[in-house]
Amino acid sequence: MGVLNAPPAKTHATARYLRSLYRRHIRPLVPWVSALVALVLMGSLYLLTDALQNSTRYESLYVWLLAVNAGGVLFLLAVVLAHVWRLWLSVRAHVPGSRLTVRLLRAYVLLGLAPAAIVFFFSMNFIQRGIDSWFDVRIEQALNDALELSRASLEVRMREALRLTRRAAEQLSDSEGSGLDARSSLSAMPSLQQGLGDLGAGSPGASLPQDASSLEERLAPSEQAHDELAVLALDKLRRETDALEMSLFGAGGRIIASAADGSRALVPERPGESVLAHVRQGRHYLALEPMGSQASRSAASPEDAEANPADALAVRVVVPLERYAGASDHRLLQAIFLVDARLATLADSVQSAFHQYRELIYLRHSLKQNFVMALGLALLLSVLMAVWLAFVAATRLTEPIRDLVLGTRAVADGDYSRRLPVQRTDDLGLLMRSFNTMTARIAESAEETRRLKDEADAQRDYLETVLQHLSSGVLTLSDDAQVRHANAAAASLLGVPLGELQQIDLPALCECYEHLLPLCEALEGWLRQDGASELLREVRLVNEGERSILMVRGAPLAHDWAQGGSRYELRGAGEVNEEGGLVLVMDDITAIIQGQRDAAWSEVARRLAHEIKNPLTPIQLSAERLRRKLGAVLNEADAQVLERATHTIVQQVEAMKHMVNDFAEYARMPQSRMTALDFTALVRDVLDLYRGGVVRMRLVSKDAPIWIDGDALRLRQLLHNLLKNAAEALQEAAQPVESPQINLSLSLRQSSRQVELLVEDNGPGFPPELLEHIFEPYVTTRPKGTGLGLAIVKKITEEHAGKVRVSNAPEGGARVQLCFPAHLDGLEHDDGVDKLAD
Amino acid sequence: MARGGFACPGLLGMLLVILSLWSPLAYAGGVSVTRASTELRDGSLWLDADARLELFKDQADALSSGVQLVFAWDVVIEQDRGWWGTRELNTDAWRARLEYHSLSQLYRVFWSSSGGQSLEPESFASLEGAADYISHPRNLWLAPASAVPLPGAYRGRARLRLVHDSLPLPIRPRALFASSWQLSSEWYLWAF
Repeated sequence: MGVLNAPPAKTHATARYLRSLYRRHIRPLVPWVSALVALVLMGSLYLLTDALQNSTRYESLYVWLLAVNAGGVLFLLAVVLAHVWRLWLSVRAHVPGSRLTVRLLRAYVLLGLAPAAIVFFFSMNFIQRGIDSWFDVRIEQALNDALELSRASLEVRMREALRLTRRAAEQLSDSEGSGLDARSSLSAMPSLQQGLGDLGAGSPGASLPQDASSLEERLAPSEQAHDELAVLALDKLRRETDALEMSLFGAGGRIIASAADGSRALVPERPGESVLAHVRQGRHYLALEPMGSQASRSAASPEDAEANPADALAVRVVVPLERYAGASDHRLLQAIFLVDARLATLADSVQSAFHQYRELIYLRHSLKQNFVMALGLALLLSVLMAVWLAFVAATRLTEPIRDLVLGTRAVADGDYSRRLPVQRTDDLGLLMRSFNTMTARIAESAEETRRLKDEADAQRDYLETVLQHLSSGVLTLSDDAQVRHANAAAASLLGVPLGELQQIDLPALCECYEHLLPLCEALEGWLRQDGASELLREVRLVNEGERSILMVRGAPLAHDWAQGGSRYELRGAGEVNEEGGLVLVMDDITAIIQGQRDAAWSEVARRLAHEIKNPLTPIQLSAERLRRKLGAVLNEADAQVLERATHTIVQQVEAMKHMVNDFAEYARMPQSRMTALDFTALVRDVLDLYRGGVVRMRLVSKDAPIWIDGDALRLRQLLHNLLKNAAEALQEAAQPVESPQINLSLSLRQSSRQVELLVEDNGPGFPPELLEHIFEPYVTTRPKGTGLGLAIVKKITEEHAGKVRVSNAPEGGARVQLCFPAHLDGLEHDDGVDKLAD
Repeated sequence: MARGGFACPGLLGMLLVILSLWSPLAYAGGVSVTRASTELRDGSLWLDADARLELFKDQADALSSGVQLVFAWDVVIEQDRGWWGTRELNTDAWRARLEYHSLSQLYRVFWSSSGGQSLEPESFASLEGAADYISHPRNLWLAPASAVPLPGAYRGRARLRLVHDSLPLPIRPRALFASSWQLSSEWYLWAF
């Protein structure tokens, strides 16, 4: 299973490698190999047709030529099919130029196939009729008749041979039957062999069988002598009948005697068993036989046979010797007569012509098949090569068009670097050069545009950086009042996270953040009035009890605000208009105004203290002098009046002195001496002064000291003012407060590096209408208050770079929150636990 | 089939079919060697063999039309030399040319060897007789005795086949693929 479920990634990698191998190494060779194969095929086809016309040449290579041609055709077919397959894939993949290639290919193939088909049709017809025209029934009949005539002629010779053989047999039988005493004859002879040798000298063919000794052993003495005498008779008869060979055979076909011409071999040709059996039945055997001893037939190759066509013919006659008295069985006489050489030559010529014609007839069908096959191979080769060349031509023609399409697509996709290979000098080459020129110019333009855009981006980034680091808040709004850009200062001034500020339009922003309503109202009023002139307006914002005063400047951007409606029609959905709109620049002037106000109040206080404090002492002294001088001279009733009056004067003067001192204190320029101090210990020390009072005070803090940089004296004053104001407010409340209590909470915020002191009471709290002005002088809720306590608190807090906020707790009571920057060294020691101290 | 693979499985199949038809061993009917033996005698190595040779009508028609058929007795004698492998001896190859003599209406067989030897031609009234004569050769001279030194271990193999190269050119392609023309026996092995 592991093998079957091979990772697809590996399979794909292998396929990619094979494809890469094919494209790099094999594909470039295909055209050359195909051309080579085509050349080899053409040569092989030529040799094939030449072998068909002349069988002696390339005969041994014929089959291999066929195989080479068939293999080459298959190779070309595979190449063409591969091209077709690739083209089909290209068409399916909508590769540019593939459909044009198909059309061109179709046209080329039709142009090539039509004449090839016509030529093939007529060539086939010509081959069929041409080969058939070689044959004629009359010629065939004439050759048959000639062969029959030859046979008839030879038959006459055969009958003559039969007649002569029969007569010889009769003579041989008669002579043998006359009662020759072979035994005595043989004994009278000094030697039979010698006698036969003598006979042989006169008649070279007469002989006994070579194996005479064995023959002697087998024959009886009388028969042996009889047979030996028969040789003489046979030789005599052979010469009388002009036979080539005459032999006498006994039982089982054994040779008894033989007489032959001198050119014949010593051993006579023995008839076959079938011949012997045929003759033993009392019938004769007569046959025409070609003589195998001719040199023309000594070789087995047809070439040798054709080189010596003449073949000697002989007539073999075998007849029984029925009256052979000396034999114990039937004896056979065989005679071989040579056919006249002239007749044999003519007959052989007739037979040769007959065989050639019959062979042609026999091979006619095969010959047609071979010609058709060769023609078919030639046609296939031509068609396949034509198709292949059509592929090559169509590809070459459509290749620049495909490159043009791809180049055009690349340009459409923004790729101007595409250059087309210009390797042609025709119109397509000119077109491709023009395309390259066009893309080069477009690329130059695009590069210039990109450069300008980069410059604009750089300028915008520069401006953005400047804006982000401006202390003034900058907002740019689109025509539809959507915030387009905002810097961090704007987000800080408006009290809105920068991210939210950049994803919302201004009305929606004001709905989400109600403290921005004054800003929206100011803008709305400006736009309603004019919108074209610059805006300069002071906007007061109160965010979570903290008041801020913004100086807002506005100006339209680029074009007239009022004309925005006409441009809106040109925008698509979702598009952000980068033109027009307005810019708002906001500056926090709270501190400036507060500073101016504080300076004014300080001047007023200083003058007031100076102008009032100077006459107070004479007034007090004068009142005391009046009481001292007149108290003794007046009656008791008047003295009491005087006493009350002077007492009132002195008290009021003291109160005014106290008030003047407060003013002087408020107006005094800060001369703080900042040192690192433990703010927790300082708060505890101040609280100890109020311990045991009517109002219960409680501090929640950690044991660890919390360090800040501050002036201990001024901070003590700040705490006294806070606690005193709170305690007096609780005691002087319109409705008495049960268990008046002031809670202090001191903590260190590590994240913001701020020390926070929270002072809360359980009194009636601040009137909401006074919250905005609670830190201004003469703003107080107590009948006897000077309204300077919280103003001094705020002043001392700001001297320490801190912030103060007043509010009412949700559960009731006033809440004052003080924040001071923590001393840097004290941040790392905030490991104490909260501690509650009364 | 995966995309991008072999594009023409049909073409491959057709090629395999053609190759299988091409093989001469595809059709081996009609001829079989039943016995073969060699004998060292008279200073020579002689071959006696028996085979079954059945000629088809195609061959009979071809013979009657004057086409000559050549049968070859391929004989290979190898000497087993143990660790040194085998050594093939040079032996004569014998061919029997069979033809029809129209005048005498006889079938004639002519024997010849690659060494230039030949036997006396034989005539037969029937095709069966001629085929029987070809398939039962006796005393075919193969090599001199000196080529077969004794003692030694020898192996012989022989086969009888129709020689296609001797056929007329037009019928050779048909003879390559037609089963009736695939007259070639398997190798017969023997040791001596």
